[in-house]
Amino acid sequence: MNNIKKTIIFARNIRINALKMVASSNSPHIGSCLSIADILAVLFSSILKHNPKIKNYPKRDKFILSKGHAAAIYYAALAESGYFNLKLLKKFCTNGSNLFGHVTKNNIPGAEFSTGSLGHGISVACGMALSFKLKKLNNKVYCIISDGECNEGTVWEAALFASHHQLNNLTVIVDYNKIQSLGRVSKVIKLNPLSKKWKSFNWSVNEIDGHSHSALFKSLSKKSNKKPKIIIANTIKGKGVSFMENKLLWHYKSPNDKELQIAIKNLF
Amino acid sequence: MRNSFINNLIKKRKKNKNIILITGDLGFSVFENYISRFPTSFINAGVAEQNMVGLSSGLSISGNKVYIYSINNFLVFRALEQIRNDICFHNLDIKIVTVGSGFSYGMAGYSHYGVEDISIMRSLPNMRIYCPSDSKQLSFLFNEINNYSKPIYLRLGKGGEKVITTSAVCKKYFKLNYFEIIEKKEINFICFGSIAIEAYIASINLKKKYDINVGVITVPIIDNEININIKKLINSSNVIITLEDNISITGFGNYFFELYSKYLSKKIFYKLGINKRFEKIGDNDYMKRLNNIDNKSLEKLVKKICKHTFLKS
Repeated sequence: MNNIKKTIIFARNIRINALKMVASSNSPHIGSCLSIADILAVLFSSILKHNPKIKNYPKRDKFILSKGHAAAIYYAALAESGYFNLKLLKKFCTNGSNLFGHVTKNNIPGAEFSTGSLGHGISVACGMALSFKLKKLNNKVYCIISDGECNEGTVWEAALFASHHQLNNLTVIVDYNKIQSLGRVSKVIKLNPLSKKWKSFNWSVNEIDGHSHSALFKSLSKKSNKKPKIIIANTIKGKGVSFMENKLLWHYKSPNDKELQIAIKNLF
Repeated sequence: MRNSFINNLIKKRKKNKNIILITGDLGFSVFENYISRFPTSFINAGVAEQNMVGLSSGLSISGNKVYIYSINNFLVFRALEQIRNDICFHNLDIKIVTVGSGFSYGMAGYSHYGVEDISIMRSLPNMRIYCPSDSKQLSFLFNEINNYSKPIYLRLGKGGEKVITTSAVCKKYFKLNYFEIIEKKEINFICFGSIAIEAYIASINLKKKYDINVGVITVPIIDNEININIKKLINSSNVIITLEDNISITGFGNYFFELYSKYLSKKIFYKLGINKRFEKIGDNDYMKRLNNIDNKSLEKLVKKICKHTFLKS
């Protein structure tokens, strides 16, 4: 992978911006943001065909963040990619702003679809992928879902649909950080063996380290013949900030000024 | 009305390749012709209504005009959050077509009754509800329905509804924005959907038996942003009776009252709908009788009103 330095810098920048955004607006979900920073960095820097300068770029791949609560880092990734000015991120979760706490399409350049309630994005991604197929276009669709989101029945409805229709232009990435709203996934609703579940739904499955940029690049670049593709990305909630890593608390809490400074130092 | 729906859709699909019909594994003996003509514009999403709404949203936002089809409750309630968040919030060009309004599925029981859907759908942002009373109205409105590029909830009966709308009535719709099935009088039924047949029969019987004249109007649309041009009709009436096969609270009658309360203040106003939905089971006619929205109950009501108000218009 040629751009590894670039994607690492991208990931660090969006982590810093997401931390600042949740700190200034006293918003939750920073742990969920940090766990997908590396996935977003590789996607937006090296995988997605997109052109922030052209609004309806015809070759544009679609990306849906189905775990819409990680909106802060998604907006940061859009700004980092050049869809809008980084200064706009300061408006996150402020009165009158378009940057809502859950992904909202409202006039946000680059944002494809509003999410927030779990289990919606993967179905919408299926529709987009099917539309490209029907129109015989080569555009691809990428969608990040959370592990807790796999509790939703719609995820498995969509899984059945995608494999039946051989949507090999669809890639879903599970942010498998092993912690959901009220505790560890293994204690709430066991998902394991997750890879086997997706395999049995007839998906092409890759299980990787979701913080390894080279592994992400390799897995995301891999072509699938007829099957839709799922990447089980083993991640760490709060990744990159030592005192946030693997802590449920940071699903809810936002850092105070002192914690923010320490967190940013952690990233260098 | 199902056959009328699919025949009209076939005509539209011939001209527009971007039309896609998706069903939740329903439509036996209805869709065959469409499927054989346009196999790539038909998707059976299986018994998975939530996913069906989500994927229809993905298709719509990618430039397709999407019709989704199922039994009333299976879409309205099972997939309500997807309808709210994915279709309505994004203001997408999706037509939600449901069959089985009111007690159409009679003996099938409460799980299949479509008696709260109007209340729910009218509260959603960007949603326009169409509820034709018969296949003639549906065909007449279909062009408008197809051309409208925002969310639509199209509420249909189960099939076999008697046609009470004439071509002459349709012609007048352009001027009135409602169907005047039997010309307006001092007493008028304002109906929503296929329940209008009950008002129609009641009106004919009242005239024949007691020489009481009662107008029958059907309003086919609920849209908070459309003003039905009905003030004149209200002003010239003494009694207005709204009729629907949805629950009597929060449905069409409430919509009508909210729009026209200031014009109704000096009128006698009745809001008829469903109050008993699961206490007993029966066929469509029985369930309507149970809720006093059948033609005989309507006849009695009008007679009672005339007796107490000395009206005999």
